Amino acid sequence: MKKLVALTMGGVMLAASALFFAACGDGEQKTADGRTTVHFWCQTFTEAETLSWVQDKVDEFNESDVSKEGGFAIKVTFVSEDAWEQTLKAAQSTGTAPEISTVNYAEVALNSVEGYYTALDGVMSESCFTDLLPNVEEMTNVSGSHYIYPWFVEPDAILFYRKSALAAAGLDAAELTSWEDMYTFAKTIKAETDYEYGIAMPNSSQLGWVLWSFQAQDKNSLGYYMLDDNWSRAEVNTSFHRQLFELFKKMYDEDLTPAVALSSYNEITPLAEGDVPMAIGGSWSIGQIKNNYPAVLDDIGYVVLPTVDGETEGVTTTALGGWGLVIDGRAKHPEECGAFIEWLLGSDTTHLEEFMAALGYSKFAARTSVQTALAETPEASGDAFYNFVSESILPYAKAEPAYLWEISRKYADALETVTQLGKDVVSTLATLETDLNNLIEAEALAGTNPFHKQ
Amino acid sequence: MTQEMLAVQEAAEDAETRSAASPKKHNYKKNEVITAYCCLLPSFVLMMLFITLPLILSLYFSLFDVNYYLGNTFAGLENYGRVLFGTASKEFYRSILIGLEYVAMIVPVQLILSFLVASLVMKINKKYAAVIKVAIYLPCLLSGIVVGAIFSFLYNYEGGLLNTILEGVGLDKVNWTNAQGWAIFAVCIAAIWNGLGYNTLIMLGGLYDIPKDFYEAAKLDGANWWKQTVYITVPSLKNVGIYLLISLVVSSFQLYEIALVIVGAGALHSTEGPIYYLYYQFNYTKNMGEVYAASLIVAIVLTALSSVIFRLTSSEKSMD
Repeated sequence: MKKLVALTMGGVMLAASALFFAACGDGEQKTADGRTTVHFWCQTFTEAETLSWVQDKVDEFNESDVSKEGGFAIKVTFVSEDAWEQTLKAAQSTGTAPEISTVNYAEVALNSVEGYYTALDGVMSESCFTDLLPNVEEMTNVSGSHYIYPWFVEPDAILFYRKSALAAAGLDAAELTSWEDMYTFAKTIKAETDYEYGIAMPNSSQLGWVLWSFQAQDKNSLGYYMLDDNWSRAEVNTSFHRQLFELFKKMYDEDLTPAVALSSYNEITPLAEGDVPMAIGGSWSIGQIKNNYPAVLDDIGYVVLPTVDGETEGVTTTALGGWGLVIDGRAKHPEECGAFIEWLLGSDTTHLEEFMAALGYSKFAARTSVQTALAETPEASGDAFYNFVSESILPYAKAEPAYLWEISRKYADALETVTQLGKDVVSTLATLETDLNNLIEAEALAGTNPFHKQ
Repeated sequence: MTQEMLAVQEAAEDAETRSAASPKKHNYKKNEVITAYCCLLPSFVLMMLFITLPLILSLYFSLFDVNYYLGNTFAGLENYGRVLFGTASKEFYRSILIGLEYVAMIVPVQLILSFLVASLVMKINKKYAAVIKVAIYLPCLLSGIVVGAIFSFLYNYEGGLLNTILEGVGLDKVNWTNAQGWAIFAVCIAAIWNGLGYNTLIMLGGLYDIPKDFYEAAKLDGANWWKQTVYITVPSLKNVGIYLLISLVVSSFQLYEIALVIVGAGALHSTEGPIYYLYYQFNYTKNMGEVYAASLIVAIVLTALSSVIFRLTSSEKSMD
């Protein structure tokens, strides 16, 4: 019995000690050759090529002089998109967040104000920032400091279609420029071909951010998407938003679009597999088609996302998203983190050239030097899609909104009450406008826009 | 009543009175006491680490505007005010109502079905009973995520089993998971399938505990199946019933993974119960103090629900 008691006590004390030291440990780890380990969390993306590029580059970096002479090595961990938010937040709450992590531009402004990130200006060369494209530099610069270093940018919404479907319905893609055209095309294709639906409209879980591209087209907005520049007032009960809601309502009411999304918005599968003749997708969609469905590539066409008035040249047609790297606000090795980010994304242009090529030129450079280098390669300069986006979309694309996600969520919810419950458009928008203004007041948002220069 | 029986009854009453007046003292040996504490220690440590400590920390942090980087600011009861009366309070109350909807839809069906299946298992040949027990217990081994994935295949709008059948017989497809009316039923059916086996086995245990003599005596008195069920089976199952009722209310109110997988953020949040609400707030709210406050309010609601059930069922009597 004594033995049993001693064993039990011993086991409990051992477990308690392990828990205690695990909780108190500072997480400092070393490689076999004594270099400090710097943790880098990378969110998994739809394209497997992204992950293999990251892993290869990290391996290459750990063998480089920068790593050896600096006495540190990078350990990359890939975290699933579904678990990203809670995994990162749990780590932040316990002070074990990775020193480097991926983040999309829309999250940077508010998070940097809350102290989540270390400013990069002191740990990276100035030339890294002067090399950024002007409209991208604006997205990374919060109150005079850079908190994210861009990896790539990508337009959120482009209209893709099956050339064969349009031909069978006797339609010409050159005439697909307005929302009304989009509706008419969908209706005609459904009537004239074997397709069950005319188009796959964005739906449900991602609707909140996919709608940014439509909202970005509003020429008469208060200033910052649905809000004014100062974030003191919201306005959505306007002709523009009414027309947008009516467009979605018609598509659903007439069964021109599947009642339930056939795939996540991040995947272009329904178009690639022939389930729908038209689909709205981000620029990454073309990379998926090139890599996963090469046989249908010749049948895929694309136009800029149609606008309310049909004007598509030299105007904003989509929101501009993308990803970059940030250094945690409590990073113990910010210099090392900065050195790695500069090595990976801010110096040698060939790193990003390789990346763009691996992704089928579906993602776009945020640096002038990389853009120039790509323009000199026959692969990129000869890629029709790359040229189309570079010339017709990127220069006019608008940075994704940085305000509270709740605002975008409420907008998407309002749209769903119209499409799913058949609620009246005008009264729904009036209620939404009141809700948004109440939210602005309750959260004291007025004057908090980090990008707004008084 | 014979003299002998009267004597036994008196002796029993006497013993009861004495035991109530002076509780019996047990003289345990020191070794036995140490062993008992050692056996309790692991559970106690785990309970402290994973229940008591988080509860105390949640209570503490709920009084602050929590910022992991800039530091916490004392906010008093402000976070509770925001959850209950702020701009997001509508979403919070909606989630509580949805939790109650889950309870109302799942608990009665689970109790009745598990009772019926357990009764069936009692009546049929042991060989078939074993097959049924295994068959209904298998879904219990699956996590909510897997159950959600399985039912997603059934409910899928395009190519899902249910809609394929509907189309096969010439009917229109149904939007099982996106339209407001159907989504919550879709989730409840999956949850019932997932939990039926466990509840049936507990119910079966309760049925096996009822002495057969009761039924034999009832039969001699001419009681039919219905009367036996109403006057013997159901009252004898009161303890088991209360246990199942409480555990089902708690688990149904907290239903989350199945809804997350089957419906996700669709259906205008019509399947987002309180735990889904907390999950969402955890992911997207900057001030974690609000999430701690909301989680404690949810815990209070659950405790209140359980107390009401205990009260309504006079469980303190039946548990004796």
